[in-house]
Amino acid sequence: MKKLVLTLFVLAIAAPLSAQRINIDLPGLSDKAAQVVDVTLDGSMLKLASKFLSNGDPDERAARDVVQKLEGIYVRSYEFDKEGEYDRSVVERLRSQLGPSWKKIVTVRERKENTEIYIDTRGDQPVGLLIISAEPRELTVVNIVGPIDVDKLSMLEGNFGVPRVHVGGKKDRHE
Amino acid sequence: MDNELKAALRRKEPPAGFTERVLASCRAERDIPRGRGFLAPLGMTRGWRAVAAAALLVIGLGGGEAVRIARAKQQMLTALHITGAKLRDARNHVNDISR
Repeated sequence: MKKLVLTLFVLAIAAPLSAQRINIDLPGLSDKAAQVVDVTLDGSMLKLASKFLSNGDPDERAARDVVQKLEGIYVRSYEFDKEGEYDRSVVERLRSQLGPSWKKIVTVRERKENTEIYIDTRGDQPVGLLIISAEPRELTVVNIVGPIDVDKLSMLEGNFGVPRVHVGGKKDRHE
Repeated sequence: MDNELKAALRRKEPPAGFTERVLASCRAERDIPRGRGFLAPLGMTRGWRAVAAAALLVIGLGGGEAVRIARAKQQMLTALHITGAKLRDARNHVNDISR
């Protein structure tokens, strides 16, 4: 009986600390999109892949630092030929999954672009990240599960031999 | 016409030794060792053929695993690139506003 109580106690403490994975699957969008990026990597795949990152390459070493404690990375990015090819209400479906531990930290609203960044905080540490970027011809959703260093993550852009460009294909105006 | 048909369909006795030759051929077929397959031209013994087949299997499975890992690594780097780009875009917007 003591063991059972102890197990339940441990589970009760541990449950809120584990990050929440958001279902970012958006059925039907990949059929309409001209270009699709679909990444689904759970903790075990991340661990496996990170073992094969090169020590000699500073970019890959930085990537390993970022992913070593993560429990999952999920990305869906759709690029469309024309504007208005996806229903922007799909974003609401994503927002509706966020529990009370999720806090919106950034909203960027331009005329036709809208980016929202949410962080799942349990205690002091962010344990989940959700990025929703909705543009007229592009929708990108990123969900990262696990302890996150946002600063390190944002430093990774431009690495891995990929040129510093806006993900939507537009030239970065900050260069 | 009738006579020609009768002649054509007339029962003929097999040539001498026909039965023995058929039976000998069946026995030879049965005695072929199993597992010859595509390794037969190498002239290996049965044991070495098993070793070679096992090695090919391991190499095949290893190759599949390597492809899986390479794909996961590429996916991970792509995901990090997209995430980093989006975070940086947002940060730049915030910096622009606060200036």
